[in-house]
Amino acid sequence: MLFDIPLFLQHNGIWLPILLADIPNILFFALLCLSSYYICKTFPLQKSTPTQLFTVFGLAAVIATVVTIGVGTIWVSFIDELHVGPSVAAAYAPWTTGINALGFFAVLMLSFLLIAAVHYIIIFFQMEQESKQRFYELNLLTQDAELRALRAQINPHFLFNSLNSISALTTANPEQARHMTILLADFFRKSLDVGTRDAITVADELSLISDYLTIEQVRFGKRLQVQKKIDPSTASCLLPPLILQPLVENAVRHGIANLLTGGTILILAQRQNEQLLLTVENPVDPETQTKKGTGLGIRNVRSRLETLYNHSARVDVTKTDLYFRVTLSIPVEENEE
Amino acid sequence: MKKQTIRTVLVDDEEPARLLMREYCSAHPDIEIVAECENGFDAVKAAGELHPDLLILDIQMPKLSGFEVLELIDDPPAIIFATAYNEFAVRAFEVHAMDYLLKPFSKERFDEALERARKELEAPAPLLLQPLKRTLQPNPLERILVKDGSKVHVIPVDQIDYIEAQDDYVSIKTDGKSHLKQQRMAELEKLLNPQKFVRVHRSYILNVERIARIELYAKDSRVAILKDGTKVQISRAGYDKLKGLL
Repeated sequence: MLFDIPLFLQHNGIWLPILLADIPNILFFALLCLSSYYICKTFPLQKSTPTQLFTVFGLAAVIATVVTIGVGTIWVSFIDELHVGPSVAAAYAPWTTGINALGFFAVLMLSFLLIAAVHYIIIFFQMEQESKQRFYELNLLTQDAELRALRAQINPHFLFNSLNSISALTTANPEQARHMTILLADFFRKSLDVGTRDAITVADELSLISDYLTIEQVRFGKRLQVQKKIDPSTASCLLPPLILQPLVENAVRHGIANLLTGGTILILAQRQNEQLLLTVENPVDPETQTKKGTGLGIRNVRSRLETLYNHSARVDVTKTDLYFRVTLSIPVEENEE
Repeated sequence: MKKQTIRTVLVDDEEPARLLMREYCSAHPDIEIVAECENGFDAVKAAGELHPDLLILDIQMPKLSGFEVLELIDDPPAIIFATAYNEFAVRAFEVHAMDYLLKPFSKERFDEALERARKELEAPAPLLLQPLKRTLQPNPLERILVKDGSKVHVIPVDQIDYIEAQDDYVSIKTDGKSHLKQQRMAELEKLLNPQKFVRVHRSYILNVERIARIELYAKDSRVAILKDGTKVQISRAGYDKLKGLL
């Protein structure tokens, strides 16, 4: 529009056709420039090579400019046909012919590139905002998980039942009573400790689970069997603390505890490509209807993983009449130590 | 007067818990443990065969809860509940339990509960000993318990095709099998989820999800064809109820 001001001064009565011709043209070009946002999204600065950026934006700028000039020319001649005033094409002639045409071309291209650059800046701030938000969300979820883990450790029924077992064993089998007291203390100490860390090794989590299951085995006796298949290469892999333990607790509370003769809880850890796969499977009683509470635990695990790993982690749940299985798939990250 | 022994059955699915109760009981010469059961089925069987005076009962057990065990015993003895959960206390007193022990409990607390039961058994207040069986069930009912001799069938309501009235009994049809239970239709109808089970006829309650189609049978009556081909008569009033639901 700035270019138009001298035209207004030079030619009397040209303002109407100029405005009719320019406003749609400028809007059209602006639309093309705004669409560069999607190119910016597709080629994030951090993940693209300079050659890539140069080629993509060079090409896009040329296309946008050529299209704008082409469509603009047609539009201008259309406005001229309407004869609402002096010819716009004629008024523009000094800019659209000869060496000046190159300048005009360059100005359009540069505008396009400038807008693209602005988009990159906006995207940068957006990402910053998102990562901040994700950081807070994660913090909140971790706190929540810690709280829940604490509550799970102090899961009143787990604690009361364990204390009841200890109380029973005190006279009948003092040695075992002492052993169980120590197991309980170990379990509490470990879970308090891992709860404060961002990530722990599979080995650490499994040792915690082992304590938990040994305590429950005192209560359930032969009804609770455990089978572990742990690929040794997974031992040093990292995972968020207390992500598997709630699943094992569910397996005991909603699986084994409802079965007359009990059953075997299966715990698997393996590596597949660059994913760490952790599975907890337990038999279920087909006649016992799932109580509320199981779903919540899994939902929490799922949202924790999603916040931490975005879409590269998965939680798969399989439920049949005979068994219940949860598999976590987490990108492999190894402990450097 | 010779002191009579209190014939007692201990019911808990955890071995250490039974061990503890056995130990606490051993200090009371008048308590005679006639059976130890590790699940509800055994408890129902033991109660039926041994007619004990006292049942010390856990609540959270596989298959049958302590409350369900009570429902299945024809002539319930005195009850002491022993559980780690405090949320069942209200229900426990609804069924007139002698006492409600929270695990872990002390010997003194256990003795107190026994003393209470002892007094009650010496001077029975018969009314108090009769649990209000019918208020026990959660609403709507999730499963139906059917006693078959000393065996107990647990039928999840989802598996029921339809229920047929037979005099004072109801015949519960699942998968081509039928189970007889002494209960009145109207009573059972009230306990079932009305969104899923409809009294389509004086003699039939139908699981709506089992209906394949409904055909006209006579002028004023229809017949429901179930997915397995069984035909169930529908009265006019029953059809109106069904229409309202479908």
